[in-house]
Amino acid sequence: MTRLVMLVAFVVLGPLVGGLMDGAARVLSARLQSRVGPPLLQPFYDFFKLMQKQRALVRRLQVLYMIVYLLFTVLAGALLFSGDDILLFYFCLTLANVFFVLAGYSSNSPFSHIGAERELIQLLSYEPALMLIIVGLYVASGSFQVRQIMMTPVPLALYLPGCLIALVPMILVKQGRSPFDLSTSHHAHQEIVKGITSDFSASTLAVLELVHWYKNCYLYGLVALFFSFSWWAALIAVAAMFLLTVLMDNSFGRFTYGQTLRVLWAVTLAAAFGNITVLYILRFFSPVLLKGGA
Amino acid sequence: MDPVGSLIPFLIVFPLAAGAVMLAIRRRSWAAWPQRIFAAGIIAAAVALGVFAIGKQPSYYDFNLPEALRYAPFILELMLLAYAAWRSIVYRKWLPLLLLAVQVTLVCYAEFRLPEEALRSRVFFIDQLSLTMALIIGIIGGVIAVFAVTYMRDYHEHHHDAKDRRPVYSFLLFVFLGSMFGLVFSNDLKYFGMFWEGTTICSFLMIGYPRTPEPVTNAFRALTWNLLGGIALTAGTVVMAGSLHIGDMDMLLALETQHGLTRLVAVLFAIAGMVKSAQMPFSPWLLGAMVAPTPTSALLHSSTMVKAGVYLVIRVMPALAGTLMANCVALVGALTFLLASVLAVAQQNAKRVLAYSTIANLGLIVACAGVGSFETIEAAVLLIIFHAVAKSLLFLCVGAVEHRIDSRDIEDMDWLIVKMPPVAGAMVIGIAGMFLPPLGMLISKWVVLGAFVDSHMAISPLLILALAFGSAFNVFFWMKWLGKIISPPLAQGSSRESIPREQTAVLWTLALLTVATCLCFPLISRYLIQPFVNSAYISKLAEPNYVILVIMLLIMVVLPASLLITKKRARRMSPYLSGRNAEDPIQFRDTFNRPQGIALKNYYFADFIPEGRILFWGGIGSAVLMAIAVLGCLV
Repeated sequence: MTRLVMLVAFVVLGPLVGGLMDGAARVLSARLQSRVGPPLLQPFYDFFKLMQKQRALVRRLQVLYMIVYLLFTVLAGALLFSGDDILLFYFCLTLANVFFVLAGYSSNSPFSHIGAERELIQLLSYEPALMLIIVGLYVASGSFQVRQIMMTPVPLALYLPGCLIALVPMILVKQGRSPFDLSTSHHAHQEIVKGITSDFSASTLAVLELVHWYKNCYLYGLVALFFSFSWWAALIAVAAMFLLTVLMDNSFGRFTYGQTLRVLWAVTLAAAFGNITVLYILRFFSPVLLKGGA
Repeated sequence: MDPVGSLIPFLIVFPLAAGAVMLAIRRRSWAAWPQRIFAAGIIAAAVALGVFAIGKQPSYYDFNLPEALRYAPFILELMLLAYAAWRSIVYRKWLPLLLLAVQVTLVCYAEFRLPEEALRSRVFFIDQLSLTMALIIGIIGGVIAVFAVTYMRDYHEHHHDAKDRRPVYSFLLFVFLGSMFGLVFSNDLKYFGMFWEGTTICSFLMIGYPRTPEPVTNAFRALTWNLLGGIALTAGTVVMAGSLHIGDMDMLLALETQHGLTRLVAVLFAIAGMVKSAQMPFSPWLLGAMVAPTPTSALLHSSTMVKAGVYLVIRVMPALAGTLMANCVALVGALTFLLASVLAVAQQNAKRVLAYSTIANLGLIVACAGVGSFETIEAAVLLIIFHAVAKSLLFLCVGAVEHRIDSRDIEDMDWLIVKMPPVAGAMVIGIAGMFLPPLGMLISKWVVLGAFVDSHMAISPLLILALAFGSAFNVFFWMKWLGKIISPPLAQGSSRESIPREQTAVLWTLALLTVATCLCFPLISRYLIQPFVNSAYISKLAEPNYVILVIMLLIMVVLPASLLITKKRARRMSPYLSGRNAEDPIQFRDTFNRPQGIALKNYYFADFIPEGRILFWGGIGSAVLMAIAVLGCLV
């Protein structure tokens, strides 16, 4: 029952929370840059304006791809929030992204094409990290089921500091924030026009906004998972991560794809893989220590 | 009469007879229908075997072979080797000749110097793993044989330098199928060795079929490597018969595994299997084999013969369970999976992408076999099945496309979805089947991951690491290709091309099989895999997950259909070209106001991925691991 409630809450309230976080990030960025900036509700104004605009399409298929992108993003988030298998969440996410890339490929604007290629490079950069993070959660909690991971009495963040660190660049990549905004930036500036989204317009762009809000939810949801032993800890962690990502966004220029891959993979190897190796060694010496303390 | 007992010899002998008939039919126009009918016969027999043998306990057959046939496998194997030796002399290739001499010596030693009782045995057997292999060989092999009818006709229209020897090609195709059936049903290692060499020689002759310089060179390279594998196999047999006094595969597993010699035999067999499966450092032969006509690549070098290698590895690994050697084998597989996935990114030639991806997936199967838990064996068998279907489909698609656009370069495949919709559609399904949830390979990878994290081995983190990075590279190179197929063309007026109807039918049969195997995987797992792995073992992929997978499949299928129905009006735009679009929507005006065309290419990172160096160092790493495994047995 709670699972159903969480599922509905995610699907209905997800965009609201995600959109507010987006607005807050923009306000915060503006303050950091000593600008007045937009109001908190600006993302929603943008969304409704985009919805009203006349649709102009390069290829009709793009609309389809974007809708499937949205559907699979929602499905992925719903799996996470309803406490289902976290690997299914991971696969759903990959599938969602595949359709986003296809939307980019289906226009023959060079900007859109190179954006699609870069989106793939981003995928290549964070996918190993995400898989290792999930493995870390499994090793520490003894389950792939999110609801059981959440029940772990021990603070997972204590066992998985490396995985938590590896989550930071991944969140930046997924949100399209500097320094990893290769395929398309969530800001106005981009050296390849708007990258993968160059040929999107009107409601297609609105769908992208919606995806972005859902994305915020599941990304910070993942952060909260590490602190599921207490609501307060989870809230504080999410707030801290939020501040950190906005700060990073404002303090870096865009990396090249080579830099992106190197940074992401270095973090994956050093933090996430190192973390898992240590866990396996711990489990080897003391099998009782892990398995969720049970 | 037990139907299984009569179907097994039928499946071995019938293709051989069919091959002889095909060789005898000299008139081209008469050869097409016999080939189709023989292929249909093989498919029917394999399916019948499936119906009768599914869910049964392993059973053994001696067939009361007459005493006169006692030396048959020995003589046949010598004849095969002699034929290869003759070809080596004709082409002045001395290294294969040397290896052949070693092999002949070992085979003769095994035959004459070893005690009689060591070689008395239960000749043939069938269990759920051989049944799985037989179904793959029969169904996919039969379908490819049908495809080959029209394909080889087109082939000779496109390759005038290759002499038209189609009867020989059909002959080899069927003989190969017979050898593969023999291989998976053999328990007696003499028979196993003969059929093993049979597949090697068939592969050698089919790669060299065009008899032009490059194929001949590559054919001899394949022969050389595979002879090394054959020598490892025969050496293992000699040790087994000479020191352990047994000549059957099942007896090896019944032995005390603490014994160093038992382990040595298992390691030698595993190495033989890894050669056949083109694991590092043996991978180059498979890449060279890609010059062969496409049905050869689809049949031998992706779906069946290379699977014989992992089949042998899976068979012998229980003898090494949990040892240092098993760790080494698992690491070789994981290393091959990772590096071959990286190398596939840099390939522009579609068949080379497929070759590297095949090597990678075989690596994953070897890694699973090396870990050797119930879960990994389940994953390995799932991988064998799904990979065979999807990869043979992809090879045939590339072959069909190649004859129409005269290129196997992925960069030339843009807009395929409109140029050749039926082929491109099948290709999309094949590619999706290779890496996308909820299709087959992804399901297997899921099982693999679950199994790796639960394997309590010192190398588990390394295996997981290889899986994580390898999978990401897989997504990358498949997506690039997929994007190319659906990318709109840059020049106007691309014409439609069509392929023979029979080929389309074959492609879609395989495409449907790709989806069907995915939908049926709980059944496959329950009736084919669990009885083999352990009757008490229950797959971890529980039903709720299956429901979600089906939902994912439905979303993917239903939505494109909805697009066909609703045609909402929208303003059509030309793509964004910095606001300088010329009249032709895919040209722009440069600084001098002249229209310019654009070019779109994928990333291949050829500068960052030095193919030679990766193959070299990967090969060294694997060779060291194999050396450790062999030395570990002797110490």
